[in-house]
Amino acid sequence: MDTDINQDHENNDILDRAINGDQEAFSILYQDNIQKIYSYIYYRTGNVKDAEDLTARVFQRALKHITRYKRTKVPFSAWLYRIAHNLVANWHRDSKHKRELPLEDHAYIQSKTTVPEKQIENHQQVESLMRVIRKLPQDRQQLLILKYVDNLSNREVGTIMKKSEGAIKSLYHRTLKELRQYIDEDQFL
Amino acid sequence: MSSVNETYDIEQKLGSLLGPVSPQEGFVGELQDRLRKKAKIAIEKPDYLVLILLVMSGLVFGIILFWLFKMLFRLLAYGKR
Repeated sequence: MDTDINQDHENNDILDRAINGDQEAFSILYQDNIQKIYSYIYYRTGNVKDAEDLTARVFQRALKHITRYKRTKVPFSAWLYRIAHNLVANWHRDSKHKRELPLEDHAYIQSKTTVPEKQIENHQQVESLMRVIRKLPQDRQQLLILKYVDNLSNREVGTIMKKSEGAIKSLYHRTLKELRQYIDEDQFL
Repeated sequence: MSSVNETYDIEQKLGSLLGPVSPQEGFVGELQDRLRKKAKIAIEKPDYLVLILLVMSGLVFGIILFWLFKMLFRLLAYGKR
């Protein structure tokens, strides 16, 4: 489960080059992380337009501040997730952005089924599930997306959310219980 | 019902429904180009070490100058007496 963050350690050379202003090295880091960051933001915002806008801002900010990044503190991908989280939090603060997740925006989800009818059904279920998840506090939404969309371990999630592994485990169980309540109340799930 | 059983089906649902999303290829390429262009026109930041050294040397020079003037005035005052 630690594959993504461990890869950061293996790519120290690329990272060092990027920190020293090597554009090609930054491009490699960009290619390695774009899908993870985009997925995270997409699920947090619920629409493609804002996901693209915020993803662009994450990488622009990363490029601007990469010389200040300290490799020993947190893995590079965790650093990007933190930037993404801050931008999404600002986005949520602006209430005018709050809207439902439209079905057509799911066109790029890597569906786990190939049958078209099943895909539509799957998309509707995702939409219903996300509607329920969005009722949770921000940190709990973040936790579920990092664990289930980006497949991160409790330790990795803890690094991103600046919490211990134990605290994440406990928060995760509380989150599932709260989600259980909301799902029970929701007639579509 | 135990708490593990209570949440097991939710974990199954989350695991089966949530997955990574691929951004549009056009967006990925366009953003990469934008980042490359941005890197090329990036304005160089001032070298803070040079700036600190300049300020420090100015400060030292000022102190020496002040001390010299002080000595000069003292000598002049002594000469008048």
